[in-house]
Amino acid sequence: MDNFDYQKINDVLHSRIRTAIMAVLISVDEAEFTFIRDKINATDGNLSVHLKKLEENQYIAVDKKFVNRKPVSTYKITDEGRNAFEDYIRTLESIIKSKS
Amino acid sequence: MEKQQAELEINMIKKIMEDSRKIVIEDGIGYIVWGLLVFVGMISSYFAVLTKQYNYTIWIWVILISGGWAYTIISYFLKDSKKKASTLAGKILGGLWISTGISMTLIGFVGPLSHSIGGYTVTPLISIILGIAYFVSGIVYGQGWIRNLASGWWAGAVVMFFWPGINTFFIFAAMMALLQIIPGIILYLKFKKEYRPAING
Repeated sequence: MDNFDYQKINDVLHSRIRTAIMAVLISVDEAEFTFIRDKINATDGNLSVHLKKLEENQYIAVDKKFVNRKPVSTYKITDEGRNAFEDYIRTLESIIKSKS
Repeated sequence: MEKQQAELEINMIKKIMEDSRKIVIEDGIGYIVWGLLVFVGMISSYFAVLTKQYNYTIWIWVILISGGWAYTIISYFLKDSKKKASTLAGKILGGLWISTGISMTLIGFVGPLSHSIGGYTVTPLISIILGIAYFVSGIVYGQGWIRNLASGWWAGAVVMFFWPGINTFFIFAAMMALLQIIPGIILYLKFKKEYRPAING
């Protein structure tokens, strides 16, 4: 296990779908629910649950509004989320390096 | 977490980030439309001056530039209503080209009408502005060849400053074809080939 410490792994981000959501949101300024869904091929229900989890941890912020009488949710990564995601990437990189 | 799993996750993150960023890719249509309008305007101006039909020149330009702006405004609202995500790079490029367009319109119309800019000084000034726009766009797109087109615009400006006269219309028309319409077609073909499925998907 070399230098690996499981406690350093961020539990919130250590989920494929949440990592994927964060990867989308770190690449754009803001994105609608449907954009994220299409980019990561998730179902509406599953995506909603994981977006909620990220929102509760203040990694993302949501703006809900009505456009042509339809509800539109727009998501944005927060500074806290950006830092956490960057830390998570560094952890992944250290795992790869520590075992090579 | 195993090394292999970490590698898979890093690769997945890279792929998603790459795919999400594709929304700033330019389809080239705006370059082609504006390039053709200005090309037609320059050739018309050349023949208008040659045949001393000066009165028509301004009206030709009013029609062409109004058409260009109408296209830009309509396509902006059409794209905006369909847009499901935005990027900082996209906002920078949008702001850059709108401000460039306004600046060129002011130089092209207000300059000569107020007699503060001579008719033959308009094209080199516009070339300099286009050089700035291409240089910044190339950097934001991460496309060196677009950035390098700026050198062509600036070199053309120098030639037109030193060699003013009716020939500037012809030089500028040629520059429009070579440095805007053809690159626009290249961008369009590239967009159609590589990026359309990713954007619609």
